[in-house]
Amino acid sequence: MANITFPFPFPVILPVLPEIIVAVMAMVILIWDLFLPAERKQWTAYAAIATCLVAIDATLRTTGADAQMAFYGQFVLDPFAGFTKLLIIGATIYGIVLSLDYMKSEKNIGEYYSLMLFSMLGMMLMVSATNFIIMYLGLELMALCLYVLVGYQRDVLRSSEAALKYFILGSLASCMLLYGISFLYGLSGSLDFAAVGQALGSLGDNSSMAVSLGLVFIIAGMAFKVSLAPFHMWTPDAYEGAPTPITAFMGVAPKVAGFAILARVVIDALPSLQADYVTIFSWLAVLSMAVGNIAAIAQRNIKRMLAYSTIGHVGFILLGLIAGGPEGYSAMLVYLAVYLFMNMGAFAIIILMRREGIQGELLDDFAGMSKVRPGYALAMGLFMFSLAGIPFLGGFWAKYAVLIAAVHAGHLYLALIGILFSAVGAFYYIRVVKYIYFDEERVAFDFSENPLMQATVAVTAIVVVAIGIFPQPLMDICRAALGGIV
Amino acid sequence: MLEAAFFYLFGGLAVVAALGVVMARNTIHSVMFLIFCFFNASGLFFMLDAEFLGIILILIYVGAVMVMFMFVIMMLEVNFARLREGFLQYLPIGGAIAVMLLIELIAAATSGVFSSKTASTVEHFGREVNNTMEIGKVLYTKYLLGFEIAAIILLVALVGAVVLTLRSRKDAKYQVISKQVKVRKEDRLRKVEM
Amino acid sequence: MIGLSSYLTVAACLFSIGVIGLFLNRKNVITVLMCIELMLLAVNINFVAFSHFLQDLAGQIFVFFVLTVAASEVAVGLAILVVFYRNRRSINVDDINTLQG
Repeated sequence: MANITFPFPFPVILPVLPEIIVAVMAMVILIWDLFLPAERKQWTAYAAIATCLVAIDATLRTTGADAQMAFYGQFVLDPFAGFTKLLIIGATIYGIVLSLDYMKSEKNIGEYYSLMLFSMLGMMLMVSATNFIIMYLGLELMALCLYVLVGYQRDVLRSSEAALKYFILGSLASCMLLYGISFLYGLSGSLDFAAVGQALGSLGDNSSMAVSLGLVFIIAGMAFKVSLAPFHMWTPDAYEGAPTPITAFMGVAPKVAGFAILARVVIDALPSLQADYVTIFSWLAVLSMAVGNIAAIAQRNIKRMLAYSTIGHVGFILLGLIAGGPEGYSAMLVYLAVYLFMNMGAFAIIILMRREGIQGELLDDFAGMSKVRPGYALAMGLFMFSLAGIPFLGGFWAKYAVLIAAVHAGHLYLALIGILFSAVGAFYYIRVVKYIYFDEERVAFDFSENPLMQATVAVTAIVVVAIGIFPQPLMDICRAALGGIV
Repeated sequence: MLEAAFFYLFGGLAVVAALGVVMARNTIHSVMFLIFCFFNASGLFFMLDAEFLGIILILIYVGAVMVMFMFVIMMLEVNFARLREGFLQYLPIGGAIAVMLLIELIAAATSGVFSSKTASTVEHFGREVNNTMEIGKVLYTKYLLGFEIAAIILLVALVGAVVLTLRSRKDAKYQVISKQVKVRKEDRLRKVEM
Repeated sequence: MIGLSSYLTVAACLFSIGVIGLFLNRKNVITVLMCIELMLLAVNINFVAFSHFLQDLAGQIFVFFVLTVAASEVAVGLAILVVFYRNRRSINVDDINTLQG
């Protein structure tokens, strides 16, 4: 029997502390739920929120100005990862708060919140990955949880249908991503982003076919995950069929994680292919903005409308990646942060509105809301104006940042197309405001009176207005968050 | 020479079996073809000095995953003949995309560095190299983080599958032991005056 | 001589067959899942071949993880399929049409 000696020391684990806390607590909640009597199952939700708050604290404490590596350089905690983690955890807290009332009547709530935490864990690992293995595993952890969460209302046909579609297209996307990664591995002999980047830079011309194939497959796989057109087919169905809090959650958190890891991959692993990926991204961005903003006009269901609106917004966010450089990447982060608040606020109002247990999901349901609930109507109006990019709300500065970055990087035509589609998009957002303020009430709604959810709406609305008036602090934070990657 | 023969045997049979998966009329036959395909792929893994993965592929894939497929097919009463309606309807577009993809992939696979001299003259490891031990050495050290995430992924799959499919049936009869033990004579017996 | 490109070609064939299978069997979700398995197998052959010809173990480790994840994916996918079947009494993807438009 050969003597086995381990050439590796015990791994550094401090930078992974937030992830460890989340993983342990998710499992604790899973078990704790078994011992809770039925009327106290909601406690698992509060435990999940507490976990998120502790994770935020741990992230803030462990993130320093420098990049800290852990697990033999496969995991990095730099300001970029720290900031995107905060956004992801924030989106998860919103998702949990929005679920409080919505999931009350469902069975298995403990598993629901624990799956949300696991999904968050996958995203947190993803944004810290410096290696294709960790990236893939984080991505799949996130995706598997989301498949289950989308189909969580198992007696509702459209929920399981949405889950099935999402699952099939999601696994297909993973296959393509893996095929692309395998080619990059074969060309570079490594799975670490930095090593792949170095090896690709020194390759000769005779392997350009394999390189571009790998690039295309990786981009296609990632584009599926962040629902960029033309890989967006699953988005409207999954959004409509999923429980509304999950729709809100998956509209923001996976997008943050997906764009963060995409930025890391293109910066570290594909710097030598910048010209190629910028070309592909430009087409994807234009298509997404076009499909998202035009198809949204025809929608009568607000969840479907917001799904198409997401596709349009990810097109804008991609402009930040295309622009590149500190300005482009920080614009991307600004957009993601503002989008988190706008989207969550809009979904909070949709969830608050219910009629004898039935969710108000049609645009008609919003008619005359200003007379019944002026406060909610004002907030919804703010969110819609902000999503449309009306000055001076948060959404305006987000669009402004990416468009200016695109112009400075020499993509004037892309910026012009962006402005054009943003004007098209304004139409359907403002239509919602018209329903709220200028139409007669058609169906009587009662509103959920959960104080935590009302607080959510208030906080979100205040943040959207505050960013609109004072955009500079957020922009400075996002610029500082680039410390680790540019 | 022998190596080439085995490569063509395993590789050829894997491709034929894959075609069988796609074309078979009966879904059970598809599963069988897929199992056969995995066996051949496992042979290819052995030829590439990846004994551990070759065995894993048979144990995990054939032994567990494909059985799960079988189980679900048997459990659902599906009229598979009806599902084949319009089978050839998408052949033109599907075939065109697949053929284009195939040409691109093969062109990439036979291009540049992949077909160079160094890439075709790699010696096999001798008997002294233990593939399983080598994998074990790095799996629990260098790739520990990935290993832990994989464990969580398995947990999530377990929880997810149970949450989705488990239903407590209303008409099912359960035995509550504590109630049975606590029961007293007065609860069950009633004196009837005759 | 059997070189790297030969193995990559086998993988390319399996991947393309998986893609064509997705189109042909688009009504039968179980076969669709099997086609995805075929495509993952192609990826695995790629990784193992690269791992052998690069003399680097990382590729085999990746395959190990891909196999784990694929098994989990099948479990969740089949669970979703069973739930869908209970609601719909069919596994026909064409029947999936309440969410059109």
